This record gives sequence, structure tokens and C-alpha cells, in this order.
Amino acid sequence: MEIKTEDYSIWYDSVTETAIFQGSLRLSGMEEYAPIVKLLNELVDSEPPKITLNLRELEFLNSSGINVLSKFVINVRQKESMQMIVQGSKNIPWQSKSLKNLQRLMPSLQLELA
Amino acid sequence: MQEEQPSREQLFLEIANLRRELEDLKNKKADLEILLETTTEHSDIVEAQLHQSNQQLQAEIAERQRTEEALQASQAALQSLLTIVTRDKIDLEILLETTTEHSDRVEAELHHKAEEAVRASERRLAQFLEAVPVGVFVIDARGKPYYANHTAQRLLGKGIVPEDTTAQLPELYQAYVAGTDRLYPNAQQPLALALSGSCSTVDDMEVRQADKIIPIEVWATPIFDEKGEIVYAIAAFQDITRRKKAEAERIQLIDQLYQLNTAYERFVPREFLQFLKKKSIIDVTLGDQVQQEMSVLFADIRDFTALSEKMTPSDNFQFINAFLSRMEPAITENNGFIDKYIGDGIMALFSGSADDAIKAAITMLHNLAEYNQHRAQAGYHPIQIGIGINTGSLMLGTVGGNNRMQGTVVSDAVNLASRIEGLTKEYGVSLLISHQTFLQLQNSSDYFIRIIDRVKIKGKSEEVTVYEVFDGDLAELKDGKLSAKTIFEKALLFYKNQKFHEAAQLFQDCLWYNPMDKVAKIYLERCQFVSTNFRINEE
Repeated sequence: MEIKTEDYSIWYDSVTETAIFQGSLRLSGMEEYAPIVKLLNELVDSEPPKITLNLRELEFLNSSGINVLSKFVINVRQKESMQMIVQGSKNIPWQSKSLKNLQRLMPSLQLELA
Repeated sequence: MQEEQPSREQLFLEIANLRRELEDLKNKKADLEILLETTTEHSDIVEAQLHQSNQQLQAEIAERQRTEEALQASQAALQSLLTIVTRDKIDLEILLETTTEHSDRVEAELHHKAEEAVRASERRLAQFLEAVPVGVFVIDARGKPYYANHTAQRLLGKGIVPEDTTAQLPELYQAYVAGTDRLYPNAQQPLALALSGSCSTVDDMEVRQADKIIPIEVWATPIFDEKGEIVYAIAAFQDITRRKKAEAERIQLIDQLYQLNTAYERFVPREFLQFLKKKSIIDVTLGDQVQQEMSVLFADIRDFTALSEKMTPSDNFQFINAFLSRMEPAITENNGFIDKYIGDGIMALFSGSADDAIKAAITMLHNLAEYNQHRAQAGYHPIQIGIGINTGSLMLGTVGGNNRMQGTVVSDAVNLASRIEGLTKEYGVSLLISHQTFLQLQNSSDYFIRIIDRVKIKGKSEEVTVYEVFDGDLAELKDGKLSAKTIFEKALLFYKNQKFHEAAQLFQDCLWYNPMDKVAKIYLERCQFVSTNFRINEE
């Protein structure tokens, strides 16, 4: 499970059960995000007990992108058995604020800002 | 008690009353019976009706109970639906809020970054412009100064001049046409040209400051906006004092070199280098050589030794140079070049046709005639020259040692030309050519030519036929030679066939036409000498 382009790369490390986002995500609209949504949905459908989202090297994320992440969090929340950790970076200004909103969607979500 | 017994009448009356009452009661009874019946019937109907409605009510109640149960069930469903919808609504609200906030944040961040980038790039650009060692000067579309970097301010002696001025740029910044007191014409200065759309460079501008003049080179170009309209014009300029100085020095050096080269050329003919296929004397090395077919011309002043003895050294040189300077053009005008001067003599080479050499020689004789007229007017004796021409293969090359070398020509053809020149004195003629030259002429009938002799040259085994070209002789002499030409040739034929008597007569005829013809005289003497000896031998 991996998507790689010049601008960004997204892959799932099954050992650490971590989905890693890197680079700059600025796809335009949900249509262009479809492959990423598909990847995330497959992840949810496989129902691992715990899922970690590592965004520490995701420099840029546009609105459609945060939308995709939010929906992913909702999907995880609905699988009541799943735990979720989101890892962000304090050095990337948008992360500390936008990622907190994910907790509002899923209060049990653990946010780790480093 | 004795009651009065009712009277009969009374009784009767009573009976009548009673009867009425009975009757009345009977009526009433009937009414009541009717009433009872009616009421009963009515009751029955009403009862039946009540019963029916009661039954309906029962059914309705049952129905209601069922509905209520159903309602209770659906209320529970709705309640759970509401919970989900509420949750979804909250989710969506959070989602919307998250997205919007995120959007705002990212937008703000990008904006900030973009602004920062623009500011940084502006700062950098300004730093670049300040750092460049050339003056950068920008005017806006109306021609008003807009920006001047540090170097520009230093070169111009001032920065951006306040807006209220209406003076034109050259006046404002004291820009003059280099080396003059004229302000640089505004219409021709590069910034003005840039505003009209063209890019240009000038290097003839100088800026005058209070205590100095700075020559500058200016380059300017228009700057367009996205619609293609000129919004600014930018000029870059630099101090070219050093360059101008270097240029002047270079020009001076080139001039000196040119003069040196010209001087060199006077010593080493350009043609000589060309034959050696050398661009410059620099390339000439010892041993360079080339072989070529050429005509060699030797010219000499007759009896120069006797002439020079009467002159001071200074007069001698003056005379030689006066003479040579009149001979030189005749040679160069006819595609020849002077290989060397040998005292009063000239050795010239002609790489083209033999005709060039003949024409040069004829012109030399004409120039000499003219020179002699001048000399006569100044009270000097006329001078005579002899010219010999030969044509053949020559070797041009350099000879010498490591420190001193010169170009030279090595060839038998050169020696022969020199000998032929020597013969002119012997035969008392001005111009002799060898048969090698004669054969090379394009059209020998273009000249006045007569055969002179067949001679054996010192140190040579074969004989050489020499011809006289007398086009250059003075008119009288030329006419005489021409009139006697046929007789002379006939005489020569007799001479050759050893009919000396007949020959002598004809030579005498020639002398009658032309008493100054020394050749005829020589032949006549030879004939007489031979005749005398012949007679002696006979005796």
C-alpha cells in the first residue's frame, strides 16, 4: 500500500501499523484524492486493533486533504474497537491546530505533537 | 255524629263527578300506556344503538392501544435515528469547522510565506542591484527617475532628484557628449530610446561632477508589464576612464606599430613576404625560400662614378634619392616591386607578365626625360641610364646568420639581367631585354623593338640574343631608329652571313638616318675591322 509522486508519498508500515504521510498534499478536490481515500478505507476495513497516522513530515495539506483525514478519523471511530494515534510536528504551523480538531471527532484519539 | 245525609242530588252529582274522573283516568291510563310503550320502544332502540356504539368504541380502543404501541416503537427508532443524525451533524459541523479553519490557516500561512518570499526577493534584488559594480538607474514611463543604486549615485554625483524638477535627464545629471561642451541630446540617450521601445548602448557620454569628468558607457532597455506596455526603462552604466585610456594607448600603439610596419615595408617589400607566403616579417625565418618565374629589371646611372666625384656626400645622397624617387613609381605602377637599391642602381622584380617590366622601363625613361628637363632648367647636365631586363626562374629566400639576415634573390636570371644592363653602355642604348623576356611578351609589336646582337655572356656557355626596346628614347632618336629599322635589320642579316661589305654600306645608311645610333656605328666599325683583317689575311 503505497502512493508516491514527486510532491508527496503515502505508505503503510504494517509492522508498526503506521500510515506515513510525507511531502506536500495539494490535490484538487475529492476526485483527485480518491486513490488516497481508497487506501485509507482499505486500512479501516482490515480492522487492525490500533492505527497510527504519522504526519510529521507532511509539510502541506490543503482543505480537501484535511477533509479526507477527518473522514478517515470518523471511519475509525465507527469501528469501536480500534484505537488511533496521530503523530504531528510542532514545526509545521498548520498541524498543531488542525490536528486538534480530529480529537473533537474522536475524543479517544491520541495526539502526539513533537 | 249525625251527619247530614248527602242528598241525592248531591249523590248524583257525585256520581257524575266520579264518572268524569273515571273517564279522565281511563284517558290518562291510555296515554300512559302509550307513553310506556313509546318509551320502551325508544329505550330498546337507544339501547341497541348504545350497544353498537359501545362495541365500536371497544374496537377503537383496541385499535388505539395497538397504535400507541406502534408509536412507542417508532419513537424509540426515531430517538436512535436522531442520535445518529445528531452525531453526524456534529461530525459534519466539526468537519466543516476543521476544514474551514484549516483552510484559513493554510491560506494565511501561504500568504505570509508568499509575502515573506516577495519581501525577501525584493530585498535580495535590491542587494543584487546595490552590489553590482555598475551603475543601475531606472526611470518610470513618464521619464521620472525611480531608482538609482549606490554605484549610479556615485558616478552621477547625485541620487534620485526630487520630483518637482522638469529638466531633462542629461541636464539633470550633467551628461555631455564626450570631449565636447554639448549636453547629450536627450532624444539620443539610451534611456529615452528605451522608453520608445529600443535597446541601445553608447560609450561617448561623460558625466561632469564639480571636480571631475567621468566617461561612461551606458546600456538601456525597456521594461514591459504583462500587457506588453513599457512601464520602466533601466540603464546600466560604468566608468570607462580606464578603458578610454587603454583605448587611447592602444590606438597610439597600433599607430606606432603601423608606422613601424610601414617603415619595415620600405626595407622589406610586402611582395617579398607574399612570395614567401608570410603574413608578416615576424613569421620570416632563415632559410625560407620559394621559386618563381619573374622578370628582373636592373637600372643604373651611366657614369655615376664620374658624376659623384664632383659632389659632396650630402649632394650625392640628395641626387640619388631625387633620381630614385622618380624611378620608383614607374615600377610600382606596373605591378613590380623594388627588391633592392644598389647605390644608384635599382633591382626590381615583376611577378606578372614580362610586359609589366618593359612598360615600367619605358615609364622610367619617360620620367628620366622629364627629370632631365628640370635638371637642364637648373643648369645641370642631363643624366643617362641603362636598363636591362631578363625573365626566368628565380629563387627568393632569406640568407644570413642568426643575427643578421636579409631577403635575397639567387638566380642566373638575375646575373644575366645585370649583364644585359651592362651591355646598354656598350651599345649606347637605354633599354635592352633578353630573348627570354622577348619571348614572354604578349604582343611584341606593341613596342618598338629591334634585335641588337647575339652575345656570349661572361661565364656562360650559351649565347644570348639581346633586343633593344626604344619606346623610351627621345622623339628624334626614336624616329631615326624607326626609319632605319628595315635597313638595320637587313644590314644585320648581311653581317651574320659575313657579307661585311654589304653590311657596312647598309649600316652607313642607317647612320645617315640616325647619326646618333651607336649600334649601327659599332657594327660599321666591326665590319671595317673584319674587312681590314680579312684583307690582311688575304694578303
